[in-house]
Amino acid sequence: MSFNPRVLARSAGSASRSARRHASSSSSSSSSSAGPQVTASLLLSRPPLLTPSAHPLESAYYAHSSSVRSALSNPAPTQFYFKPGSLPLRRFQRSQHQHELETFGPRLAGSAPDVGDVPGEAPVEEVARDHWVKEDSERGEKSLERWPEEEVYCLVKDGKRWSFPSTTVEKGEGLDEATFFLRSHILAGEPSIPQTAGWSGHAWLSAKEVEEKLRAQGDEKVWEAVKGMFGVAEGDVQA
Amino acid sequence: MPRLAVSSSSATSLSLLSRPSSSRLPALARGYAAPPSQNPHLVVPADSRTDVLRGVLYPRDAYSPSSASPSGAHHPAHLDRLRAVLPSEEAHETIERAWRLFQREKRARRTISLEAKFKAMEEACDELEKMTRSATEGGEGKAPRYLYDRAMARARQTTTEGAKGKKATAESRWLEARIEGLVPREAWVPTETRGKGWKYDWTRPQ
Repeated sequence: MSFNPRVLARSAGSASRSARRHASSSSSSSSSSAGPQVTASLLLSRPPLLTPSAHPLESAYYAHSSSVRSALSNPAPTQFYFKPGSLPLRRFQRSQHQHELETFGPRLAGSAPDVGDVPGEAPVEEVARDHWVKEDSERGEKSLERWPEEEVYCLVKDGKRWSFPSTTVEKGEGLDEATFFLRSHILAGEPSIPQTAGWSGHAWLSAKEVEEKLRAQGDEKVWEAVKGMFGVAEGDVQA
Repeated sequence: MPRLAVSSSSATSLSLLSRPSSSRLPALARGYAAPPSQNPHLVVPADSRTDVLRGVLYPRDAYSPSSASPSGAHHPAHLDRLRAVLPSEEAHETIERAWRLFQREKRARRTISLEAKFKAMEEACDELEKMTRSATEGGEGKAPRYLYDRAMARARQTTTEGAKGKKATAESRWLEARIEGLVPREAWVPTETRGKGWKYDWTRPQ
């Protein structure tokens, strides 16, 4: 049996391949005498860009833990860190009092320190975490900024059908068809689909979106076979 | 009456917080020269900065020598402050247990996900092995064995190993310059924020 791997077109992307392949054997019920087909599919993913956002419980616990720590901590040795009467000292005293007021209440915080006139600090420009997602939103599903906290996977469109890019594009049925997946990561650039490939478009989708798309086009079996790669265990319901 | 001298730093440190800004401590006094009678190597400089540091590290009103605090000092109202944050022991225990439960569930979800991925990989490799083993050896013989062998060996991006001179392609030159198996330098660690967006027009440098 000759296995002719066709080069997958990925012109401007940098990828490091791992040696692992996954099998999704879709056993079709046909009894044709066609030879066994081995297909190689690509699971191209962009690793997450941002650290995961804090869960409300996590934020609450960290705030509580900080309060306990400041309740038990030593009084700040300002005479070592600040020059007497200096502006940083006065800013520190004011912010200390503010923090104590918020954490322990007015009775324990005491009266505000007499710091006189304190000029304001330079404002810190804060960039929202979804800044790049919004900036790049006109690319739609082709944007590589989508879902910055998750791993997004590349699916290609063949006419109206979404699938993983693969080398042997078989239109008819095959006995004991097996598809093996190559895992790959995109680190920069963008994949460009040449004319010869026959795909009309691509999209970067999170695991949940991949499931939705496959189910919507009636490929539940494909999803069930492939979901292990995405970390969805048997009997699991994707959140 | 608190002394104004800097050496009694601990006594003045707390009163400094409530002192109006107009009051000033004397400027830091530094003394280096040794008196002629003493051995200069054994003289500890009479430095008010050292006194300040000593006062910070070993406060006069230390809580206790064997306390959990590194310098043995606490805020005067530390018990009240703690009570303000933790109303009761049950509250503290509930918070801690809730946190540990949350962490355990998070870890369990991660473990299940990882095990699913590994299981999928393992089954794939077993499937390929069975497919490529010849019928005489008990396999299915559906595909040549080299598929399995190459999959199990560390994958290389080019087959031109050590291609040099005329045969060197851009890809092989790119690989030659890098250590195999090392994390590529374009890879990243997820961060809190990003200063730059995705580089769509990246090309492999020649």
